[in-house]
Order: sequence, then C-alpha cells, then structure tokens
Amino acid sequence: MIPKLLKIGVVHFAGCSGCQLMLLNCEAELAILAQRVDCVDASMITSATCEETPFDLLLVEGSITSPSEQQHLQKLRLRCRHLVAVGACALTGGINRFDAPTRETACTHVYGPVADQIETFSPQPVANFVAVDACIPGCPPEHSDFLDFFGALSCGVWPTQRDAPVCMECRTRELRCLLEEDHLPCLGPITIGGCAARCPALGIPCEGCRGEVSEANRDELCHLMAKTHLSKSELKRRIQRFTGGENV
Amino acid sequence: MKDTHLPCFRIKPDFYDALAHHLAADFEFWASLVGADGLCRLQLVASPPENTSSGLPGIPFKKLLLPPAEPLWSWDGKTFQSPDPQPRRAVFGVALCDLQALWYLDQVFAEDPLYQERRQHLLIVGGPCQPADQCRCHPDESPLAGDLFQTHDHIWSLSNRGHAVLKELAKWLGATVDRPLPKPLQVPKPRADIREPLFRASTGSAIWQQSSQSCLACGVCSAVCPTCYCYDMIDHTDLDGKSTRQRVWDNCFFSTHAKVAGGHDFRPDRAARLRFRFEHKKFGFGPLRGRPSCVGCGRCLKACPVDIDLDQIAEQLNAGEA
Repeated sequence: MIPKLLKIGVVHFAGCSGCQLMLLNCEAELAILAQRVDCVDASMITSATCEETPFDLLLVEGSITSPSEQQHLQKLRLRCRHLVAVGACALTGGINRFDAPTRETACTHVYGPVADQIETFSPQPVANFVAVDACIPGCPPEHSDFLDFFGALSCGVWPTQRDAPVCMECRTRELRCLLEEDHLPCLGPITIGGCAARCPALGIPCEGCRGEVSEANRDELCHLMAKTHLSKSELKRRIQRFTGGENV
Repeated sequence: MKDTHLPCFRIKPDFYDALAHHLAADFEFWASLVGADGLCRLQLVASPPENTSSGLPGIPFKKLLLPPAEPLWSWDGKTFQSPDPQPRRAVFGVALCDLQALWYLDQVFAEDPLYQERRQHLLIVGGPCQPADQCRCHPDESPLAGDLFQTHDHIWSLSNRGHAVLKELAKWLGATVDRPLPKPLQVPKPRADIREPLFRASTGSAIWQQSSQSCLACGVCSAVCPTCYCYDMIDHTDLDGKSTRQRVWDNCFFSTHAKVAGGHDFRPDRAARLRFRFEHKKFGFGPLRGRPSCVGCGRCLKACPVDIDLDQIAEQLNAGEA
C-alpha cells in the first residue's frame, strides 16, 4: 500500500526545538519518511516556508506565551486538517510553566525596564486555544514516538495511545526499583510509559517528562516520597516540572 | 499432587554433567541468578547451575511463555508472516510454586497455538527452594507441571518427556526410590482464603475503597505474578508499511483495562479494580473457577510499593471488618 504523500509542517512556539530535532534525528528512517510525507514548512528541516498552502498535518511544538502567538496558532489551525501537539511544552506548558509564581520578576530579569511593554502571558498548552487531534508526549519524545506515529498514519489511523506507566516497563525490563530499594524520588508510577524506562535503566529516577497517566495517584506517591528526604517544595516542583505547574 | 507415584532415582556423581551434555545439543540453558544489584533474574546461562536454589526470580518464567510484548503476526502488504520459531530452552531450579503456576497457565492457554509452541520447546527442571518472609505457598494444594525435579542427590521425573530424558541417562542413575518431592517445610505464613459467598456479599464493603486508596496503579503486581496473563493487543506499523500485531502485558489497575468501545468502563475506580484482582487470584476464572490462581509465591507482596496484601484483605473480610 502506497499512501498519498502527506503535506506536513512543524511549527515552533516557546520551547527549545528539541522535539523537532528528535524527529530530524531519526536518521536511519528519514529517507523512507521523505517518501511518505512532504515537509513543506519546518524551521529546522527545510528552508522552504509556506504562507498559505493547507497542511494535511501540522505538528506543533512549544507552549503559547503571547497574544500574537495565540493568533498565529489559531490561523494555522484553520489551515491544517489535523493538528498534533508534540512534547511537554505543547501538551502542558512544560518546564516553561516554572515561571508561574514569579512571572513579573522573571520578565523584568529578561526584558529589563521595558518588561511591562511586552505583552506576554504565562506559558499555556496548545489545547487551551485550538482543537488538538493527537498528542505525542515527551521532553523530548522518543524516536519511536515519531516513527510509530507516522507508521500508523501511513495506514490511515492514529497510533494507539497507551496509558500504562513507566513502572510497568521498568519491571518488565527487570530493573532495580529506585523508589522502593534506593528511596530515590522516581515518578515512574504516575508517568506515561513509552520510553522503555530509559532513565531508571541508567539508575536515574524518572522525572516524569512524558506527562502523567490519566488517573495518577499523586497523593500516595507524595506520601511514599517522604522517604526520599526531599522537602515538600522540592517534591512539589519535581512533580510539577513537566505537568504544567498545576496544584499538587 | 500425587507425589507417591512420581518416579524418583538416586543419582550417580557425574549425573548433572551427563544431563548438561545430553541437553546441550538441543537446548539453551536458563536459570535464576542474583545480579550485582541484588535482583534475582531468570536468564540465559552457559551451563546448568550446580546450586539449584538461588531464590525466586523477580519476574517469573512466564516471560518465556508469554513474553511482555509478543508478536502474533506481521503483514507486509502482500503476505502474513508467523512469528519466528522459538528456541528450545531448558529451565533449571524452578520452585514448586512456579511449577503450580505453570500448570495453571497450561490450562488457560491449552488452545493457544503460540503458547503451546513455546511450551513444547521448554524443558522444565524444578528444584528445592528456601521460603522467604513473603512466601505463602500451599505445596500440596494444586497440581504442578514440569518435566524433572532435581536435588543434589535425587531426580524425579514429572512428565513423559522427563522420563524420556532419564531413560537416555540410565547409566548415571541409581536405584528407584520411593521418595516424595522435597517441599518447603516451613512456610512463614499460610495463605489466607475466603469463602466465595462472603466475597460476593462484600461488593459494597468499605474495605475495597480503603485498601485501594494507596494503590498507584503501577502494574507491578501483575507483572511479577506467575499466573497473571491479561494482555492488550497493540498494532504497530513501520514506515515501510509492515504491520505487526503484538500482545502486550496489561494490568487490571490500568485505566484502559476494562474500558470498551463507546467509553464505558466496567471497573471505573481502583476499588472495583482491586476487588477484581482479588477475585481472580482467590477464585480463578472460567472453567478454573473455584481454584485459587494465587500460588502463594509472595512476589506481589514483595514488589508492591504500597504493600497491598490480598491476604490481609481476605482476613479483614473474614473478620467481618466491612
């Protein structure tokens, strides 16, 4: 089955461009990917830009932080058949949300005396402004997230979104439990899997970059993490890092 | 378990060398080893271990029969392909509880061709175990499966295949002896059971809510359980158009486990999910209903980050603490 060439774009808002870079880093698969999609606009991938043409699929990375970005996003939504939020910033606001409690100070620090003339707001997830058809989690997403995504699209379906936590993948790989055995602040129990427990496999506790599972039991995890000797505020920041700074 | 009928032989000094030599042509060897990180894993080894009781592997040997992500078929746009043929594996030092679990899985997957193919390719050699604090096995309660059972001076044949292997090695065997399998003599605590009517009456009990409050839904209990076999079906397509359908380990605490088309969830909260797991482990399902699927290996108790204990729940229900 040779599917129709999809016209895709990648648009970048507030973020580090790591998601787009991760797509570009799928080096072994780029040649075949180029046979499946026609990338008409993506700052790191092509010099071409596309002001008017409609997209079959638009990947959006980064969070929305100003009225002009919001308007740009909304115009893009009208031009694309499907819109996909990619990465923690686009999905939850990501680590950009860390400014939230001290936003004014942060703006003054960055922009100096003209801070109050620059119109910005606290970084927001893409879904706060436009309809999102699919999500690719991660900070950044795994290569396999992109490859599974485009693979499923080539069959005309969205990829399966699983809701199983990192813990399950960690145990399946028979790794030592960092939370139980070493009392490290591992977020594996409440974080969406798909990374094959990349960090715990290196002895690094899960930092939750793929976002929370749909029914995360944060209360109990906080309770368990009391054993890690992190202060309450450190614990809160750790859990909030990739989840948009909601109340914990 | 009618162990009085199991043929048992005294073995001569070089028996295990002869056994290894005999099996080496056809089988990979697998055994439980404790790694530098303190975890016991069932893994590929160069030769069968001399010491057969190295403890229970964290993930039981169901991983060889029902791998965590198992391809069922793939399709390249023209033809369907079956999974690759399975290697022949001889697994050593399998504890009695895991042999009981094997019997259970054999019943459940009796008509599953992929399971059966893998099963036919396994030669399972049991060994004595040293019960740990969390062990609650019932060695006499349920049937066990397997081919051979070895100690340092005796070997038992548990199946026709085991018998055939011993026949080949007759000159390293001594006299037949009437000797039961060595069972764990002291299990720290017997498994707590509960009568089914009492369980049925517990639907509205606060125990389920209370006991499940701390559950993280991490999925570890079923990953480590030797008789948990629930799976999800996941399709995956490569960019070159090759599609593969896999069955992937699932867990009854996951939000998608009992969700069906249209969005209805038969078990919408953790309390209902815990009750479901309890029911499955204490009473089994389908044609095996009435027989506990829990073999008392204690892995879930050891692995659960929040110490959820099905036996403690049974005791609470028995004591009428609802």
